[in-house]
Amino acid sequence: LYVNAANLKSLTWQSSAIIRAMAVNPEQSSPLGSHQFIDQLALAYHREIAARLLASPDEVLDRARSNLKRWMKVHAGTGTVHALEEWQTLINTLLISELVAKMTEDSDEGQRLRQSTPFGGVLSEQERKEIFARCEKGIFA
Amino acid sequence: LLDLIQRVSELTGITAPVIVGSQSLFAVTENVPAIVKDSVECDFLLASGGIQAIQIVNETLGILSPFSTAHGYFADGLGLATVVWRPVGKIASCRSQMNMDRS
Repeated sequence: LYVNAANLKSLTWQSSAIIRAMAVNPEQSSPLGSHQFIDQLALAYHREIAARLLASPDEVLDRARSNLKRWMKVHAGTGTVHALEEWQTLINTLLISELVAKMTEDSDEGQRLRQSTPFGGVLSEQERKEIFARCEKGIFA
Repeated sequence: LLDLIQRVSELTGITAPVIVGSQSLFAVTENVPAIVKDSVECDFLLASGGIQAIQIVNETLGILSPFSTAHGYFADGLGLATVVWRPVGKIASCRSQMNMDRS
């Protein structure tokens, strides 16, 4: 991507649009649209996945391994592979209890790891929606 | 990144969604810190789409969504609550990070 005159014009226009949106659309400042909310949501998802991991470790780990294998092909040759390899190492070397602690760690490091989570597909869409709704309710409670 | 921009645009009707956070560095340089290249998520400031745009992006393209499971990357839909405009500090910290990565 390059910045040229047209891009700069567009960026300037977008900045004005953001300022206009702040003035006319106060809901944009809602905690629902904050990164803090997204981080809490990811933590809530992973707490549920951790419970599933304790109950059916093979099923959950098989899914994670299969996701990682597929994504590594998609991202081959890019920096993303490092993040995926990190998870692969964690999954292959940690005890289940250690993995649970790692994926639910309420810290910057925990957040960083959850951002490249390999546990897609462990929760159903319905379960994901219920957790989302619970977190949403939590921030407005 | 381009795929996510297109999908967010189609989903929300926002023709030029604004990228904030680490991935926005690509607008000014291809020489970004490793942490930016490693990332599988991109933050979108959906200021003009209201809460509905944020919700639909997080639900459809967000973390652990069927989309992210299929593709291995995802979008975070954000509002203004998350955005802090600190250009001087941000640029200085990015430069320092890029210098560290080069050394």
